[in-house]
Amino acid sequence: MAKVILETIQRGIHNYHKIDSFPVTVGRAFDNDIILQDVTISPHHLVVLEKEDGSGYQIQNLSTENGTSVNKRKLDGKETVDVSLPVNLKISDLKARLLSTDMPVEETHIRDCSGLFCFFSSPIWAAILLFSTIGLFFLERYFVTPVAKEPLYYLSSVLPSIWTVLGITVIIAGVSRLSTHRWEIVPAISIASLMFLVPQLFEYLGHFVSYLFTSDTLGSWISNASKFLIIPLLLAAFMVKTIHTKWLPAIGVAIMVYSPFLAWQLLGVIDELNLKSGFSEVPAYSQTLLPGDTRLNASISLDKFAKEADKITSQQVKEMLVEAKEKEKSGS
Amino acid sequence: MLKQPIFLLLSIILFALPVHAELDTTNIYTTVEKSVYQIRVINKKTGKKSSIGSGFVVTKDNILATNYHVVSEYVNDPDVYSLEYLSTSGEKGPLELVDFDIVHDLAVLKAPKPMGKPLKISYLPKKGASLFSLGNPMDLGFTIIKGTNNGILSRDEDGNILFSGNLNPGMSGGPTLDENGNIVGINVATSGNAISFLVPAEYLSIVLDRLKENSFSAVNDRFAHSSKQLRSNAKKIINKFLHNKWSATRIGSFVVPAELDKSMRCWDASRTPKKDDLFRTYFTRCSNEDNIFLSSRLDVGSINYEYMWMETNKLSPTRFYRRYEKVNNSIIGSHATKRDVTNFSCHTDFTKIAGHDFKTTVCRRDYLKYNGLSDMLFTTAMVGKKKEGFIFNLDLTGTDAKSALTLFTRMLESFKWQK
Repeated sequence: MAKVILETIQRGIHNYHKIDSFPVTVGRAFDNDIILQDVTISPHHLVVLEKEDGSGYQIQNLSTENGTSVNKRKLDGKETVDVSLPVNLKISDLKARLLSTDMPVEETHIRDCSGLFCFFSSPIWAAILLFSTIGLFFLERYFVTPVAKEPLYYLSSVLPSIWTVLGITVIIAGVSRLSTHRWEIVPAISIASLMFLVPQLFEYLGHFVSYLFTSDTLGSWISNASKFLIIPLLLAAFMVKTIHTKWLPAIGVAIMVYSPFLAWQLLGVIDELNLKSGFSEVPAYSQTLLPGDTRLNASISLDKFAKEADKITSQQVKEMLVEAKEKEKSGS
Repeated sequence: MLKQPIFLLLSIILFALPVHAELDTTNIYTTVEKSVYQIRVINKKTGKKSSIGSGFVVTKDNILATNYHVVSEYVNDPDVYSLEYLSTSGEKGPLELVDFDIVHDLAVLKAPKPMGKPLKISYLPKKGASLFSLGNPMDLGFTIIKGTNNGILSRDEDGNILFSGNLNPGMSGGPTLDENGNIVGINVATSGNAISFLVPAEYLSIVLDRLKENSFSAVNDRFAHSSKQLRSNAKKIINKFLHNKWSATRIGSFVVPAELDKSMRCWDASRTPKKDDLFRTYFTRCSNEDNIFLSSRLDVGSINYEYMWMETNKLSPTRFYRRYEKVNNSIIGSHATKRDVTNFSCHTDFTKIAGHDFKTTVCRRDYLKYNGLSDMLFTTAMVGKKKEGFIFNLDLTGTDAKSALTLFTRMLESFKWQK
């Protein structure tokens, strides 16, 4: 029965070498006990030894080229060090661990099909999500076209968006295939659809809220939140629920993957803020109009409105004038 | 048979007129030549002229009149520019700004020495009378131009004189004289093809009378002086509008005010309807088509308003409102930059107008240098109707905020719903 296991990770694949007797030689040459095929590894790279009294293990570096590190410390020449298991090794650039056979393994991840995320992997839900997204593309295009058009016009204008959804599905499924050897095509369809569906729904919500409050502030927060949060969160949820990554690394990876788009979105928001803080010849006022006419402000009399408008705008303009005067003073 | 006499008569006039006119123009030119000058705005750093106009001696031998727009660069940046005159004989010297009327585009300057015989101000002769305009067009030298008086423009708020003669750049500020050599107007603008405009000399008399009272001492705070004139002019115009009886026009289901004054012009700008249109738009735009010159890049005094009615019986409310919302987007036509004005401050709320709900907005921005002067933008859009939309926009530049707000509410109060 083996007492020790040498775990090596090569190209993301974990290999476990059982060690029954000592000393054990590791290297690229074929006369080693454990052969590691990597050009940066020396023909005879290191040797694992058992102490004479059987109280522990030792590692001796044999490589004069790229060397061996034990717990992040690089060994000098043919140095031998005592190690207690488990220990992290770096054989040249290759990650490895020396483990004892009685070390407990991680808990089994149960395929989580409870709660909100179940529909990720259900083909019916995936199909519903995909078709709702495509349906929304058509509807949105139809809404913004106030002239009579042929159905083919709508199809041709919506097709690029549909290709994008399918393209993102393939990318997500491909990443999943590389990391878990499973395609996970159904959850990939759900996620890709949600990436388009949710921001659009948030856009509608933001629009509705802008009209409801007669102010664009909250509405623009909602649409900005959807731009920045929804897609990374969906990606992270996908990784956690289907590839069984932990939340923190999943969010990290999601932000990394999304960062080019994030940077682009950020640029837009910075431009918007810049416009707001700087001078604009365009007046910023609540321009939303909705057929439902759902709002918190009841209609008031013209007189009352004129009085309020005069009070508020006079006050604000006065403040801006004071500010401009101060700026001019500090400038000159 | 009838054509001939007319032709004959015409040819007599054509042949006779030049001989007669030549006598007049030579006489007038020699009499007033020594009282007309070129006015130059000089960049102190380079010593070169950056703009030119004309001017003339009036009321006192060291007092000259010209247009405000000729000397505006100097008024706006007195540290950078200075004023200079050039006489018909080529003599140069400095000038000092004494007073101006920014609304009527007039300025009064003082020279350190006697400049010639002051010209006299007279009343405008009858329509059709000959007038003689003097100045230095395009810096080519002093010229005299003969033209016809076509009376005071009734549509123009400033009441400028329509002069049928060819004024050219550089002649601004020069005098236009009657056959006796008295000033009736000051050259101010042209739209080409012998359509030129003169400021009636009576406005110059008002400035000169004011100056006589304080023995021609120069104004101190020029921007305050301008602001005061611009504000009182804006108030005067709006007040006049408020007291006028407004003509009404129907647009969609609303009866709304059309021309608020004879100085306003309204145009229809509706799209020609097509058979397969899913919605209809009717559009009327009114403007005073007038501007007061503040500087080479800034005009004020415009008053514009527009009505837009939209209706559909083919579009769903969502589709209709997408379109409706897109046109609910009012801006102001002005070249003001952050050196001139503050940002807009806006207030939006829902109001009842003619028994219907409207989303109404008031935006205001103030001029940084012209104290108490504002640009006002008003807009209101009918809400709560699924198949009909109505937008009213009103904007005024360089106005008095309170008066403009009164005008806006009065206009809205006169809206009537008529199905």
